[in-house]
Amino acid sequence: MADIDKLATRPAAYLSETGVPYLIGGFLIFLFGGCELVTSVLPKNFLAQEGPKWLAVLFCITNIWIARAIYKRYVYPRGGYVELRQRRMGGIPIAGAIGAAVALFGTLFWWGRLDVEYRPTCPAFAVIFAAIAFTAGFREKSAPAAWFGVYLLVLAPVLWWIPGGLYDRFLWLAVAVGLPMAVFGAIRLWRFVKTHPLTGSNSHE
Amino acid sequence: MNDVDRIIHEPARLTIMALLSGAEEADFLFLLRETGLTKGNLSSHLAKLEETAYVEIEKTFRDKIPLTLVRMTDKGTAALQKYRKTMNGLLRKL
Repeated sequence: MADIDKLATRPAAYLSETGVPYLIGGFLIFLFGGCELVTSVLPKNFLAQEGPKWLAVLFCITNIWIARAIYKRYVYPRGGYVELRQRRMGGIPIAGAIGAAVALFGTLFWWGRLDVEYRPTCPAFAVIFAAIAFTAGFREKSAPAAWFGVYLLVLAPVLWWIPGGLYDRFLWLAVAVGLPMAVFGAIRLWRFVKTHPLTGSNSHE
Repeated sequence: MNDVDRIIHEPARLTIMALLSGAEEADFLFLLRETGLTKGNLSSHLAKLEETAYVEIEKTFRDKIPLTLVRMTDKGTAALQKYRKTMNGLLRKL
């Protein structure tokens, strides 16, 4: 008998297999970190200093439409169109864990329990994200997610030693997380395009 | 066994219904790839499901390309849930 639960997750798994969520999400995270960091090496005029940040804001606003355009151009004609139902419950615990971590650190800063330059903060976030990646890898039986967790664990001590303040280290964390995620998404999309040749119309007439 | 919904119980149609339960809507090509059925076979099963009002089929165009969209109806959702309950009950008796 067909595994109904497994089949019900196929629409979401199909969209994930195209790599588009990782490409767009990863690029967004990378952009937020990179746009801020790059201003330190650009000329100190208004355009060079503010331009990259507004680029990140623009991408943040338009990323949904960009993702839809990629799906429409490369994914739907090859693998078919699907519109998901509301988010699976599994996404909530992960989002909740991230939110809880941010809230905890925010509260500790506000109470003054943590020095604003407290060095372990950024590596701690990397470890939390690693735990989330391992959990996702175990639950989804995904080797890439597990390897990403390993990468984040290796990144944690590197973030400790990066010069600069806490804000700079968070920017580097964003770059270090976003870039491999975007590259992973791009490779997945490329593989999807290669393995799913264009068909004719998707009507059964 | 008399309580088992024969429409949904057929393996291909069960697969179609299970796939649609995870999506708001899906097109013919997606169902074709995921079920591994032939075009004619899939059309036939979808027609059966539409006949019993478990799915609704919309034929439309997107950028001048014909598109066949399939959605599970509320009746179909209820029927699938009832089917699951019935089968779980039967399997527990084994």
